[in-house]
Amino acid sequence: MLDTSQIQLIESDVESARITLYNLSDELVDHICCAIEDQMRNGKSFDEAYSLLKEQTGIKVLQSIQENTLYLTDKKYRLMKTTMKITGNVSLALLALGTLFKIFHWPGAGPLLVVGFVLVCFFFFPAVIYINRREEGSKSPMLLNLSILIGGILLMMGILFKVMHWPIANLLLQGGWFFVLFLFLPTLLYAKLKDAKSGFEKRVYVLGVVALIIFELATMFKMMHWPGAGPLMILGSLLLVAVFLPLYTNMRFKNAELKAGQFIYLITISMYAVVLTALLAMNVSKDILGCFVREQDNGTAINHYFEQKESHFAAAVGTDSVAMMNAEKIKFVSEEAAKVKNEIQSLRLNLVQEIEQVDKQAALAAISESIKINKKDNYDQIDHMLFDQDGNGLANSLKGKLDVYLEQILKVTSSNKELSENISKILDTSSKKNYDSMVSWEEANFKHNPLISTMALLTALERNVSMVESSAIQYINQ
Amino acid sequence: MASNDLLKGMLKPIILKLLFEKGPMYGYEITQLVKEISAGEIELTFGALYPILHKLEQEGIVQTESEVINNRNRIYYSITPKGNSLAQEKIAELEEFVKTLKIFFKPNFGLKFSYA
Repeated sequence: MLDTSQIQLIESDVESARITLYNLSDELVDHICCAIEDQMRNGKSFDEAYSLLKEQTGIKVLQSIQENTLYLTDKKYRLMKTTMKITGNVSLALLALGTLFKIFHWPGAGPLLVVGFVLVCFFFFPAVIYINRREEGSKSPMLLNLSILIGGILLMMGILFKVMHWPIANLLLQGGWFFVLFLFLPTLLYAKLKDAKSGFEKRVYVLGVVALIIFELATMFKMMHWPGAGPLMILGSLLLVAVFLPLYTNMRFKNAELKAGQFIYLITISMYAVVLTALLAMNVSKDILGCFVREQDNGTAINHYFEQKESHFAAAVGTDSVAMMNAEKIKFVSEEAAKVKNEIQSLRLNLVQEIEQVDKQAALAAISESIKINKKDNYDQIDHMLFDQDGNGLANSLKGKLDVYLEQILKVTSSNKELSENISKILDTSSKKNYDSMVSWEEANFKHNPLISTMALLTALERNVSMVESSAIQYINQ
Repeated sequence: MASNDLLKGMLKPIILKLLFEKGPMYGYEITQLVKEISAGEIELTFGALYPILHKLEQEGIVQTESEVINNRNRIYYSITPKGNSLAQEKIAELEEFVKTLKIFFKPNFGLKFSYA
């Protein structure tokens, strides 16, 4: 017969398998005890008999008994398990296909991603959490399940909105991060510390949660374009992959809870998580942003040249006799051009001031030396500022102003057909075909464009306006 | 030893028959008894046993009673009055099935075939 300490050992082992179902843990303890007692009657020692039994029926077997029992007796559990299996596989396939379509710019990427994310968020994820809660019973705190459910859904929806360039993506992401960082991770740490058997184990858990918090903060900083994301990300991933993971796996191996197969799985998943988040946090590569920096500064130089040229014209108006005759016409062209240029300049200044959160002085300095701009790859705010709900807004009114300008200039140059045609081409604002659909001028130019390329584009527009102005004046003076 | 495929569906009536005839029993006792009666031919693992017992309890066919024995809780299963008739039905059904099965192992299936 077994003594109390031996029974307690078996009880704690069954407990560590998280058997929570009514009566089942008692039954399994009794069953294991009976089997050991049988073996001991045949002359084996307790240790021999128990380790032999553990080889045949490890924690996994005990857990599968509970799973099978739940599966047989709980209709909702059965339903959730089926939901989890089906939606898990289907959404994975959809998301993989959606990403592939997106990369190759094939039509249909959007719907694939949306359906995939919706399946993950509203079917797969709740089912997984329900099953986990059912299996772990009251042992896992309600707050833990609730916070990861809400936080996870918000985060995944945020990523979907971000990928689809829908509004409020940042709001969703921030909400998700709040739940994960301030509710889920602390609760997880609390629960783990309560379960921890040694001081070492406690320290490993604290380290893990701290590493996760740093890593999540880094992702958040990166996506929100807050400074300091780089160092945080390096620190977070180093702590996570190089310090926590080895300690944790080593600890689990010692406690014989982890099998080699699971280990590979754990490592692979962690690697993917780290690499993917790092990639996701990167909007546009630095090289491409650098191209636009140079383009913007070139454009500024050209516009500066045109400004000087205009002041020469203005000076000539007073002295040259031919110019005197055409003074009225030249003044008209210059005024029309100035209207549009003012519009473009104030729009560009506005964008830089709003996105960089700086005063007019600093914004002007950043425009003339655009490498100074911090949020070069920000496009959410540009979308927000240039387009309203119906796709109109500032981008649309700029187009209107350009159209008016073209119309006015053509009045002056109408007698020269070639010049008029060229001017019309330079100031063309008609819709263009993009892959398989027609896209309006303002959408093609400003939708989802990062700040730096939008600036370069506005500067180029200003240059075009000046070029047309200059050609028109030249034509008048002939 | 009988394979799992063959045993599927048989275990429930076997367990019911044992409980019906021997009265209250606990899990380990059932597995050992099945092993003994079948001379080791049928191995009822606890992984297969407990889910079935819990399912039967949920259906109201068996009931449980807990008793402290050797410093640990032991759960005894017995057939409920309500489950009595159902248990008999299941057992009869299995007997009938076994009879039918046996016919298949008679030479020529018990029919007088002529292979002309």
